[in-house]
Amino acid sequence: MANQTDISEIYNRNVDTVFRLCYSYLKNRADTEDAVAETFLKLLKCKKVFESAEHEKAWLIVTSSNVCKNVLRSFWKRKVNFSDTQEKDDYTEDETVKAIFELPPKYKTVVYLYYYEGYKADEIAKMLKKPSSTVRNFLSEGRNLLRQKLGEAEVN
Amino acid sequence: MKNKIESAYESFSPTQSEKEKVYSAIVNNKNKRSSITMKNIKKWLPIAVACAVVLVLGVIFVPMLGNGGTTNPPDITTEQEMDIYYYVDGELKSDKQVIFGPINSVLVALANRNMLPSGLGVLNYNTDRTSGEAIMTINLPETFAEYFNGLDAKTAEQNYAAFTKTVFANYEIDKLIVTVNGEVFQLAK
Repeated sequence: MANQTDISEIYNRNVDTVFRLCYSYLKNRADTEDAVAETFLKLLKCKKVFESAEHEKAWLIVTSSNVCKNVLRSFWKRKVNFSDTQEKDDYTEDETVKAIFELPPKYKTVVYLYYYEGYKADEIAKMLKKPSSTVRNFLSEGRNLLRQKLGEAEVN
Repeated sequence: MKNKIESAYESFSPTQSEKEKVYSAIVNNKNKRSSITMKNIKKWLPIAVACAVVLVLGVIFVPMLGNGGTTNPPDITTEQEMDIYYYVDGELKSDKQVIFGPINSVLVALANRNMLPSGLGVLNYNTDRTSGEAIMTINLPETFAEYFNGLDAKTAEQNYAAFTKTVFANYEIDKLIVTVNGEVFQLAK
């Protein structure tokens, strides 16, 4: 189990990545904060020893994606609109942000890792423990959806 | 285009205060366990609402199912074979008779066997189950008391026994209270 000094270092190394990824899923800051906290709490309770910083980052990315998917799957989240109680997002007017928000959850992590973190498809496949072909497929479909939403001829 | 996507993701980055807030929640382990956040409310509200609905429905319907509260014993709305007790020459006998109708039909069956006066009808009746026992109270008119007061002690005792046995045999009750105009009825000694 990670101690408090470790968690502080791990948190500082990865919080931006985890937060951005969670926000792309959950679309509001309050739920994102909860999801990020839950992800790091899982790390605190986890007895896993990481081989490297990359391994640690991969674990956090997978865990945070799963936390967000669980939140989105919950009955209450699907059925009840708490928009009145949620913080207003500042970025919802941005077409690119909207396009990212509207991506199906299964593409979000792959698209984020590819376009923002700069990983290659094979690296993402290894990180997410998915076949490379699946990751390429997700990337291709995600790219097509972004292209449709943004009306761009090419999204590379 | 790639730049636009990068820039969109960049806009998702947490502010310093958000980072500190989340870190503080992690360290204090408050986020999940003790704080009443909107997320917690959202998580537990449907369960609380469901429990409240079940509770309300239970309060309303359980007594009606006969497991508690004061309810009228069901009238016999379908033909039902009932045991009718009566005495002949001091000997207790019973017949099975198909009864159709309210509890008054049972009284009619007893009257036909000379155990009760003819034309007798209950004023009201109910079964109280709040104590855990099913206690049935039958409130009868003055005619009932006059009939028994006019009989000799032995006959009165037998007829009354036939009446109570018949009620006990056909209704699931633990105790029977017979009243006349609301006053507990007792056979004259």
